[in-house]
Amino acid sequence: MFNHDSQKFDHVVGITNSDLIAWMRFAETDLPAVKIQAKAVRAAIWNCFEMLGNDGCGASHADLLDYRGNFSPQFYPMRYAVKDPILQQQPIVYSVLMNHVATAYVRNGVSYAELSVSLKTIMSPCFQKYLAEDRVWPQLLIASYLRPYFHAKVPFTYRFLAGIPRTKAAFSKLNGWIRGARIQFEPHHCDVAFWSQRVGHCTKRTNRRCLISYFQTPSKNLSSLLQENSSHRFHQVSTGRT
Amino acid sequence: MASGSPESEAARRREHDFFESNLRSAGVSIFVLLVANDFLADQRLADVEVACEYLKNIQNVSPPVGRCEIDPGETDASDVNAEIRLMHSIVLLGCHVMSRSPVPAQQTERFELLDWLKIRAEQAPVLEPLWLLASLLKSALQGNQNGVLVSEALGAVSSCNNQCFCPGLLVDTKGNVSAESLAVHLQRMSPSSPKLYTTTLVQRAIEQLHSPGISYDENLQRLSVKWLKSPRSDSTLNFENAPYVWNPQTELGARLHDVAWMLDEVNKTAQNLGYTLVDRWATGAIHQKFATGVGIEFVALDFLGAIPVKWQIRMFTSDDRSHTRFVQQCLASMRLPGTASWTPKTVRRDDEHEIKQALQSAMDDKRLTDLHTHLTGMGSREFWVEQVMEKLLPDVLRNAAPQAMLSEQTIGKLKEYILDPSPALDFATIAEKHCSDRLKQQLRGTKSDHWEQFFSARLTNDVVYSREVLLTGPYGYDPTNVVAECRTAIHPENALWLLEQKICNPHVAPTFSQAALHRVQSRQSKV
Repeated sequence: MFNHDSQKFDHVVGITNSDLIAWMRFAETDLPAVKIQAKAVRAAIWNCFEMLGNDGCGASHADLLDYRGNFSPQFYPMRYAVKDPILQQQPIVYSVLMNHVATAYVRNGVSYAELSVSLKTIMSPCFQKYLAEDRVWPQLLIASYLRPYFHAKVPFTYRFLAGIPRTKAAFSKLNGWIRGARIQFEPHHCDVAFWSQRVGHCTKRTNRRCLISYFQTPSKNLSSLLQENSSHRFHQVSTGRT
Repeated sequence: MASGSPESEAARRREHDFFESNLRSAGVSIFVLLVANDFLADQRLADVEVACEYLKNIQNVSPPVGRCEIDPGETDASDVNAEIRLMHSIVLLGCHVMSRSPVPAQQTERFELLDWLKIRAEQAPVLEPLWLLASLLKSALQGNQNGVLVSEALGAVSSCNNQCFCPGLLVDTKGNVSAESLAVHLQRMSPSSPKLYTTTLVQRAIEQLHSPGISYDENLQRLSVKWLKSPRSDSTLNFENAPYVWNPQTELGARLHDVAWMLDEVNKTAQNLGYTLVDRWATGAIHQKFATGVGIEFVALDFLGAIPVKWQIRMFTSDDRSHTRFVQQCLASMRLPGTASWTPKTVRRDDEHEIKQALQSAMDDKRLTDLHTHLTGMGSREFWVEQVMEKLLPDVLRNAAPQAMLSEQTIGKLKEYILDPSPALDFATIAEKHCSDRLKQQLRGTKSDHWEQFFSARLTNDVVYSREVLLTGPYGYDPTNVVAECRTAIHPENALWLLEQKICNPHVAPTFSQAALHRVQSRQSKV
């Protein structure tokens, strides 16, 4: 299969999504032995996406006590493990997910949201285009079964924040990333700006990472954005506050 | 009103003139109200035709002055009294239409409504017209399960200058109803499906309107009206409030209070900002002021469930010095109307205050400002499994390039890089660029002549979950960290065997390496 994350062909020993889904559907059959096993698999797969009980039903009080207040392995990597290959091998799911998230936000009266993403995702040209507005509000994918789902652009602004390890956040490297991101996002009609003010703010508190973000502001001119963010804000970075 | 004195004649004449000036919009509104009521009462199409004929000739019909109970002394030029009189006119016109309508089979119900309207008209205090209309409709909706149709009828109240915008009903400036739009309207209000508020029909109704400025977003539950330019006058931009009662979420008659109140508030806001309003109820036109060059560009009302939560009225100006370019009014910032029935507003404001306080304390104590939701952490199990895994991914797979073609393309791409005859490029260099380590190992063990066969047999566009992923995700086992921080402390080979037992099945055709499975199983048996 082709891994969009590494942009390389990869050899993976595993089970395909089609087979896994087919196997999970045996939970609905009348074959007793198969049904029990398929139900167990289905419950395990369900648990990869949501904090549920071992049987795939809602989490019991004991289940909640198991991970309450902690970032346990049950939360990460368990709840992210199956999502990663999906997103790596079918990055269009990024667009669908972003649309789904925006739908949930907008229907609850939120018009602006900030979402964390990994720096690898945000800096990858392959994934960037799927997070751009022209893909998130698509004409590309119109699937009637996706609910809730916007099929047209809505007044919703989203911004991504990506954490950079402090040890890797050298200004020269950061500046290179910023320049690269701008070049990569420009074809998608998404100007890029970086909120380096937040860098200083965040490093004061966590002292181990800074934040880099980009705005999707198609209405603004790229050159004006660059001018706005070119002088004093980046100066904070260069003076070593990070 | 029965007096024949010159004063009363003059008052009647003034009333007649006033009535005539407002007759068209009033007639349209009461007509649609009647249409709705007809269908609520399961009437036949003949009633609609009768009403339609009446509407066509509405300018030639004398106002029902004989039934008018309005005191001539109130016929002054003040806006409030004029609007009250307009409401009286509407009610009386409705009474008139209903009394003239045939079909005696439903006459009892009709005249119950007639009597009720008359009583309400007589007892109505000095209210804002919208409140009166909303009150009338709300009372009419009590005990009526199909109230949505009546509430929809309110949406038919239209601007008398331009084409009417109402649910599937198109009324031109003369009050004529087009056959196509009426057909759509009737189809929507069919007795067999009284609540056909599907998107298709709504969209069809929009298409009937031939208005590119109108759009309805089903997911957003918002209907927007964007007036680019008035067809009648460059200085007037008309807006209508029909969409706000057209929205399926406003099927509860009580919500009309909300809508009516919001309209009133927005009208007041617009007036405070210097706009000139005509028809302060239900429909209206905001005249662009040449002095400031301000006009209405966008009007929308957002709903949260059945509650209208936000009114947006976007105003534009051709003068950059104008102080207002955009006005947005929310329920939370609007004045609370003086009505005892409006209690949710206060509760909502209190809740909002409490939530803000709680959030502020949480941010102070726990530093929530640093917490952002990770994008890939969003989405429920329903989204990821039922929509993505079960539907989207197979859909993408079906629409992807065929396996053979994909293989050919891949082989071509690999040949381009890997089988480059250039001596400067060896396999290691090219494979380093385009193949993962695992694939390189596989290719090293395969003759280059068999690579095409290798890719043809194994390359897939489907998502492949590796063993490591399946061990980590469903079973909480981290293959890279066996002992620490794993829920299931199990030896890798045992875990693999467990996974084989759990996932693989003859019905699904095992995709793991059988050799590895046998090896693990044999080790298990030895243990």
